[in-house]
Amino acid sequence: MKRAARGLALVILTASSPAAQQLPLFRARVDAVQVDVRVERRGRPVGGLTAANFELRDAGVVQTIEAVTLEDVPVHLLLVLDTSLSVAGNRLLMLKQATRAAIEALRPEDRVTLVTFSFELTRLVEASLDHAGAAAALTGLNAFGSTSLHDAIFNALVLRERVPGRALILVFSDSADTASWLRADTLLDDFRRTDAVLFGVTLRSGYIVGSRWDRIWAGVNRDDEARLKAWFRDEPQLFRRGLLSALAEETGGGLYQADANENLTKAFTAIVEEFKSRYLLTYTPEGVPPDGWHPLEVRLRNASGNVTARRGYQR
Amino acid sequence: MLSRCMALRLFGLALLTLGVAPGARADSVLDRYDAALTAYREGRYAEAVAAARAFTERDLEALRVHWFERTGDSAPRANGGDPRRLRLAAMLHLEAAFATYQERLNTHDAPAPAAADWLDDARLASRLRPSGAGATHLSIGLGLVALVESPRSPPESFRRRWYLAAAMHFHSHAQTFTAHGVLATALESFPDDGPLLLESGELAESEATAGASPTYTRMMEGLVRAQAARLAALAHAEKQLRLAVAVDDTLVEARVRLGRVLTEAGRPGEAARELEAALAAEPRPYLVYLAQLFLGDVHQRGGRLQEAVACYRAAIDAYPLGQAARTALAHALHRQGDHEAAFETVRASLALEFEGGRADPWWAYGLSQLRPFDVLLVSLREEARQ
Repeated sequence: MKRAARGLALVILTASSPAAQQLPLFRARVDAVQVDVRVERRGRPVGGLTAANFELRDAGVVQTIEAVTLEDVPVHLLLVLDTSLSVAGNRLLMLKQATRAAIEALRPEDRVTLVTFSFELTRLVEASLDHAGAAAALTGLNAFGSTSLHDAIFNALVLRERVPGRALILVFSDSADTASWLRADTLLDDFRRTDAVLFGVTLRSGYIVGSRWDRIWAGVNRDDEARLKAWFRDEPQLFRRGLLSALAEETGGGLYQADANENLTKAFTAIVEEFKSRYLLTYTPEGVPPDGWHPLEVRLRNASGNVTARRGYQR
Repeated sequence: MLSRCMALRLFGLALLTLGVAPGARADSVLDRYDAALTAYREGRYAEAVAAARAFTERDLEALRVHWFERTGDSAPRANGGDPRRLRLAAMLHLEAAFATYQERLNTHDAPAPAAADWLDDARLASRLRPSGAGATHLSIGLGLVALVESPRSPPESFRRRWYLAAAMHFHSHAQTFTAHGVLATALESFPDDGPLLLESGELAESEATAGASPTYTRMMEGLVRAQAARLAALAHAEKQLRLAVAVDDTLVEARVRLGRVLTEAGRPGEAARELEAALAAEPRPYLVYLAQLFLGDVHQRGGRLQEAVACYRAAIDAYPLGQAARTALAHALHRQGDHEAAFETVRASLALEFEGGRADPWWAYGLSQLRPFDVLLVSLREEARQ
């Protein structure tokens, strides 16, 4: 979600921004709201939809959709990569490979930012169109230390602000946060105020390799996951393992659980490809309160498919 | 409910009775043991520890019999150990325990402490379920160090520092249950030892707040229990840290931690007073950094973003490599609506270079690593060798 007056996306919607001027489908108005939407049928993206095919309710009020774009808007891919100790070894090699594949899946006009984190946060590349250079920046990357997941995600969120286009934050982590300053609930609130879409990638047998924690997590069934999700809403700091899932749900993204290191590449490229095929709905809110939480509902009209969009936005 | 003494005795006996029946190879075991002690005395620590770790459970039981006799439920006593040999052996077993636990990082099978276990140290200790060679080494070490010096030994004595080193190490390596057991034993003998109280409070604080603690990774047991355990851990941390400050008001770290614990407990006014008192003591820069960071958090939680920004800036001034404070500053600026300043803060933060072992004190905060463990270990080694 964006609101130019106070939201993260001011720079995108400001008409004076040179990059914004390259995006004729955007209405450069201060109150415009954009919603990134995925439409799929039997696991495949559905193309060819127009504004008439969508019904969007903001706080229960049907809105007039002014623009729908598909594959027209540059993507800013922000890769936030866990390079803590548990990633060392083969997992790191696979992570580098997956990251390179994700970068290769971008179009020439798409930008890439690379942030890595252990306890230490590092920016390898910022909003670059030089994809080959970005891939090369991964060389020499090492894994060590504990995990500042929350702080890394927030830093990436701030970095996306000066760059026009749709922001895809792709976070890889094989463990829960252990070293951040920011709390999980704070981060969740930040994401309610932005239009960025977050996808998380974890490893199903992840967390601390070879430990009892592995076995605990491996033994978690669907009921446990649902409970963890529910607990996270009540006590995000205690049940921080639910963070990526919650952020993905909040932003209309997704969570991939790769079942092996080798499948990381598949997950990374699938996320980028999927993001390129989403719709961007733009509207100017009418008949809704100016502030507070705005729940969103997006449905299809005269078309079939499953719609995924962010839960709402905070003004 | 068990009495405090009885519970601690059970903790000690649980450790001391690990292993199997005494073996018949005592002589050869003792020869190898003497060789390991000699290696330790001569400063060949790695060799000594490797030799100690080569002992089987049967060997260790033979050593336990060598060192201790038990009569009924009375305390063990050493067989023919002069203080120097006792110190040497206590250190050897401690380091062997470190090395063994290191391999089992995060694999402890003990259940997380329940809320009621936080009521006192003894109940926490009784929760300990040691197993394996590491626990046996630790048990022998605990038995030996108790015989090195009496409970009347002065501050900074070998025995007190041995307990502290053990607790710090196990805490920093996520063996929090083991650390709890060691501290409970230590505080039974030295209830007014400032550094031990500080470590005890810090450990409980970690349990209540830090992701590094294994407690909350096992929370498949229910939200209510998790919340209760967290609150109980905070209360325990507050108690221990207040005691630490009371017995030694030069322990500024205890006051800084108390400030954070009170913030987490939802008492911002008291938290701010403790943090301001810590800052008034003009502590070392890393403590100024943490105190300002925590004070900024108090302000931010109270909606006073401008004051929070000022504190975060002061934290960065005190410790320019503080990446956590830069993230905190960027976040507060962002919430203020100053996105440009937030952006520049993030950019500067992500460009920091951490070289020469310098790091953000926040990274070490939850892992008992603010105080120099390595220096403590070296001093214990040297004293044991004398």
